[in-house]
This record gives sequence, structure tokens and C-alpha cells, in this order.
Amino acid sequence: MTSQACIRIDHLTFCRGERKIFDDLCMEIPKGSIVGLMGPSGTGKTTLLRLMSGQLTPDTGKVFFDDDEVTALSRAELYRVRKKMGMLFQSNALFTNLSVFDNVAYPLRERPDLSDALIRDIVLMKLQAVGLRGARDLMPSDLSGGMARRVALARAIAMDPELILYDEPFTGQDPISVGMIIKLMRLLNKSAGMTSIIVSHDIDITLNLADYIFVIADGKIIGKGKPADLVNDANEQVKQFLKGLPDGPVPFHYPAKEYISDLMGED
Amino acid sequence: MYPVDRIRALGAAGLHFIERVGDAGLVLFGAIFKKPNLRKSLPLLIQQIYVVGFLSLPIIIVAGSFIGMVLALQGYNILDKFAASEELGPLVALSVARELGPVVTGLLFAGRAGSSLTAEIGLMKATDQLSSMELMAVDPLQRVIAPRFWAGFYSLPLLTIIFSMFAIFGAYGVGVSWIGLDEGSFWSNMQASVDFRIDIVNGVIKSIVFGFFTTWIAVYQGYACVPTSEGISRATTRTVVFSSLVILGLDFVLTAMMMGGW
Repeated sequence: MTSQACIRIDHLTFCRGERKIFDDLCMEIPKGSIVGLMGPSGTGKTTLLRLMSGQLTPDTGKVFFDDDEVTALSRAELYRVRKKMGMLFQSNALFTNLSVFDNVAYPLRERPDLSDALIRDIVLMKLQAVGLRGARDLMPSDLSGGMARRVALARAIAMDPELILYDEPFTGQDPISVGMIIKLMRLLNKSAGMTSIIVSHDIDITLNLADYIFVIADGKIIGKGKPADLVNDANEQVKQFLKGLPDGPVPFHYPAKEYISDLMGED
Repeated sequence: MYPVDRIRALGAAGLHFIERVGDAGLVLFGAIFKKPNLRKSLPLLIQQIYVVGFLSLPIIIVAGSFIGMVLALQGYNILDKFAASEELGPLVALSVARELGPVVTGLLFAGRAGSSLTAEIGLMKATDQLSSMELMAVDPLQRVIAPRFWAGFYSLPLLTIIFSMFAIFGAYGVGVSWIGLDEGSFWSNMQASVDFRIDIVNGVIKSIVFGFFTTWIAVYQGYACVPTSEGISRATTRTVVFSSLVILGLDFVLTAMMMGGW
């Protein structure tokens, strides 16, 4: 593994039942970079994040984080490695029985070396960064979708992880919040050297933000490169996806029999 | 379907059942056979005892009182025919301490607390709360499953004792205060007939076993449920059905063992 890679995926194959999600996938995420993962819905981008963090185990192939082979670690070793990771879940995954403050403080309280006073300061700084310091006493049920997302973001960055996995970070955000999140991601990347992997369908934002982009479809990487190079990619699938064209090699419809004969009830 | 297909389906179902039992065993092992962090675990355990045990008190007290009252009415009508109405105290105390206390409390506990444990854990799974714990290097088996399991395990025997007490008070209310039986013979006959080791301790042992299995089923069903609305609903139903059947089946086995003088 190259010393510059934060995540390396080696010939990974992963199936759900009969369906092959990834077929011999290889990928390298450089340290300290912002990497975008894009592709049509259902191609397994969230699944890939879960494979990277060891929440899922591939059928074949290996996943490396720094020098650790995530796919071969024991539970205790995996927890040691995960202390260096943060993840923003698509569903936010906030603890519904805890306040905003306690949600952000949750990972910090797992560290016995941090005093209550220090934890309080860190939580307030993270909440300030996402603009929700004033909402510290609210419960998750009191938050709007966008606010809950920002609380989840504050919790994901609470431990200042080396790697952060963002699953649809811009969903449900107003333009001001999107701008703030982009600014925060860039700041974390530049000042703390954090590696960020972003799964997003927001093409313009991801092209502007990411240093490097992978486009995934049909279980494979169909395009990769710097945003400027990717925009000029000759691959028809990549072109269709980036331009949002309904017709092209990437099918909009899930595989099914012919439409008219289906309507007519023919076998 | 050919007979061979039926046999194959039966075998597959059997294997699936064994697999689930093994999986449930692993979940329980992961939850309770690891060194707990007392600073974190103790407050969670106390909180869960409050939720699972204390909040079950109203239904246990009301059910216990009414069952004692009904038992006294029915018992008096029969005993009176044989001019043995002064034996009402022993009848109620023995019925409640040996059988009705552990079994009815177990069934009520499965319906009230077991279903709520399954639904809560299932919803935590469906909303990725368990996954987010894993990502924060926190073991959900220890942080979510273990305190709930121990809370159920400790609460059920205590609830059983409270149920039995209120059932006896209910019977006293009907038998002595309403029907007019002699208070002294009600209590003294009860004291003379009930053996602490054979009746009380055996009843508590039953409730400990029921507490173990009922809570195990509840936490496992939540942890292993399909994380959808329908999946949680099915898991909750399974908790109540499986717990009830296990309580009734084990009650027979334990009673047979206890009567055999083990």
C-alpha cells in the first residue's frame, strides 16, 4: 500500500443475495484529500462507505485504512481503528433520547482522559461551527431535517477524526447551510489534514468541492479523476450521469420485461 | 410439492431455527460475558430498571389485586361447600406463590416490557443509532443490550413478589373484609401451610428463569429484526408469542422438577 493512501480497496467483490453490488473493485483514496463518490441511485455508494468502515464484510477482496487491513481486524482492533473515523449517516442516526448537546458529547464521553469542562468546550465549539450552539438543549424531535443533519455533522467531527465519511451531507439544507458545510469541510481538510469522502448526488457542489471524484455504476468504477478532467471524460456513462440526461447507457429503469407487454399482462 | 421437498423444507426450517438460537446465544454472550465499564453501565442499568421494572408496577399491582380477589371469590364458593372456608388463605397463598405469581407476572412482563424493549431496540437499528455507536467505537451489545437484559432479569423476580403480595391483599379484602371470614384463621392457616423453601423460594426461582428467557427473547428480537416498520412489528409480536410459550412450557418443566424433589 502506498504511504499516501488513507483508504485502499483491493479487488473487492460484494453481493447482496444474488445481486452483485461490487465486482472486483479497486480504489485508492489519497490522504488529506476530499474525494467525491458519485453514481446513479442504488449503485451501492452507501454500501461502499460501510465496507470502508468495516460495518460490512466483503465477499472477497481487502479494505485498508492506513496500515490496517479493516477486513481482517478483530472487533477490538476495529474499534481502535474506528476511533480515527467519523461518519455522517444519511439518516443522521441521532440518539433520540439525548439532547443536541449530549448527542455531540457522546463520542467525547467515551474518552476517559477528557474532563467534563473540556468536553463542554469542545461540544460548544463544534455546535458553533455548524451554527447550532443556541440549540444545544433541544431534543432531536424538536429539530428540522436540516438542523438534525448539522447536529449529526457536529457529532461526526467531534473527535477530529482522520477520515470522515459523509453520506449525502447536503440533503435538506438551505443554500446558506450548504455554503457553511462546504466551508467547514474545506477548513477541516486544510487545517486538520482530514480526509473526506463524500457521497452526493449534487453534481455541481461535488465538482466544486472535491479534489478527486469516482463515478460508480454497475458495480464498477466507470470514471475517475480530477473534477476538471471528469467533465471532459469521453465515457458516455460518465457524460450522461454528470449532465443528468435521461437517455443513455445508464438505464433509468430497473431491469424489467417490455413495457407494453407488461401492461397487456402477457407472459 | 413432492414429499422430498416437504422434508427438505422441514430440514431447512430446522437449520434456520438452530442458526437463530446460536445467533441469539452469541448476542447474549457478547452482552453479558464482557467486563463492564461500571462508570457507564451502572447509570444505564438503573435507568433501565426504572423503565422496565418500576414503570411496570401499575399493571402488576392492579393485575395482582384483581387476580387475588377473583381467586378468593371462586375459592370461597368451593371451599364453603366442604365447610373448609377457613382454608381460603392457604389456597390463595399457595396458588399465587407457586404458579400464578411467576406465570402471570411473566406474561404481563412480556406484554408490557418485553414488547417495548424489542420495539425500542428495533427502532434504534432502523434509524442507524446502533450503527452510529459502532462507528464511535461503542459496542451496542454492551451499551444497549446488556443494561436492558440485566434490568429485565433483576426486575421480574421483584415484580413477581410484589404481584403475589398484592394478590394476597386482594384475597384478604374479599375474604375477610367483604365475606366476613375470620382474620386470625386467614393469616394463621396461611402461615402454617406455606413453606418458605418449597413454596416461596421455588416461585422466585421460576420467576428468575422466566426473567432470563423473556428478556433474552425481547432484546434479541429487537437486535436481529428486519429494520423496517413491518420488521419491527413482526419482531414485537414474536417477542410476546415466544415469551408466552416459553414461560408456559418452562413452568411445566420447572414444576415437574420441583415436585420431583430436585
